[in-house]
Amino acid sequence: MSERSPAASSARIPLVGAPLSLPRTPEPPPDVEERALARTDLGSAFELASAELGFAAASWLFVENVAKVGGDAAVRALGDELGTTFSVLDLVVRRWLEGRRRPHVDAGRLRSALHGVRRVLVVGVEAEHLDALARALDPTVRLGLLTYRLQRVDWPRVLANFGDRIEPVDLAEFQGWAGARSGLLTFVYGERHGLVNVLSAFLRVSGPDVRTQFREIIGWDVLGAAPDVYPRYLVETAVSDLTAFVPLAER
Amino acid sequence: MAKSAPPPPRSGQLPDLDREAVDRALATVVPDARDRAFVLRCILEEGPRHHRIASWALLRALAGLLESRPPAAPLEAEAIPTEPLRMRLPPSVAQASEDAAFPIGIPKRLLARSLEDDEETAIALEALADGPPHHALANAVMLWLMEALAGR
Repeated sequence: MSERSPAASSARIPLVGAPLSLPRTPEPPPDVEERALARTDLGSAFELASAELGFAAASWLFVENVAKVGGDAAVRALGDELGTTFSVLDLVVRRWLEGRRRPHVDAGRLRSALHGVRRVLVVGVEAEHLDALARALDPTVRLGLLTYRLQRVDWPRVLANFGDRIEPVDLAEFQGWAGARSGLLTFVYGERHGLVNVLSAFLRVSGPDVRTQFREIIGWDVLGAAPDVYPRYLVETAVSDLTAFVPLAER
Repeated sequence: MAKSAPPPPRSGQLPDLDREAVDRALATVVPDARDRAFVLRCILEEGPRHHRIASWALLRALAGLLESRPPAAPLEAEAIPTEPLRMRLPPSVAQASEDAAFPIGIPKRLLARSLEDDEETAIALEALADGPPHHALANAVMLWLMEALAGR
């Protein structure tokens, strides 16, 4: 049996006196990838853009603008620089180099999947798709955006883009949006072999308790193919967990 | 050793389980097809596997009985007193939801006929509506199919 140090024990459990101020644990040093990302302004810019515009929207925006300045060679360099960390960007770079262009955002099939729904709680940000959704749905249908994401987001700034049309919904209160006429909508980043990539936030709000509280649980593919690079910011879930899967509308 | 069939997925479609007969039987009670899909998803795709399959077997048997007995008159579901089946939302947010009730309730006519008095009926209703949604909804659908059978 190992002996406990009396000093260490008393330092952890003060029985009398004022609360003990414990020495601060030093921040762990950034790993190789974090250091590499922090060195490049481009990486920081993409991190911010992807958090507030969405991975797909930011990827197409960056690829199109890099291509304008430096052509395919610059796009390829962008993929080499950031693709390992941002799997959606990696896929969009590959698609661009194959000659594909930004897909048309069509909310028609989504509107059909949401027929009869009076409230839609959206998980994730994709600026173009949120715009299309807001335009496609009847104004009486309430639209909420879950304000939970693993990346840092200035939510008031994001929501300001939609006026009052989209309401912020805190993770602690999202079940207030549940009901027999409610839909839970998540953006999907590609499907492969019955699995879809989603933000981990979707898993936070689609547990067994919640699945019976929303009439529709819909995935809207914004990418059209699953990334090849292991998705750092995404997680897999089964297509069968959705009541409807709306594939990407290719041009 | 013979290979056993793979278990159905935790959620999603159960390809070997025919739900159409139950869906048809429920159409007079829940006219909206999407509402029926919601109710049947909660019963047949959510919760433990043995509950899903047991509920399916019982509902399928009742639906089969119904189909074998043509009705003298269609079931008038709206005329049957019904106890709403509310979703079990956290109390802190329950008030925020505008329609936190399932699109099917528990019919009370057969219970009132079969049980001794109002107190027994109230106790039965409380128990039938309690527990996880797949339980309560299966109870509700079974009672509705029994109501339909009682009129044949």
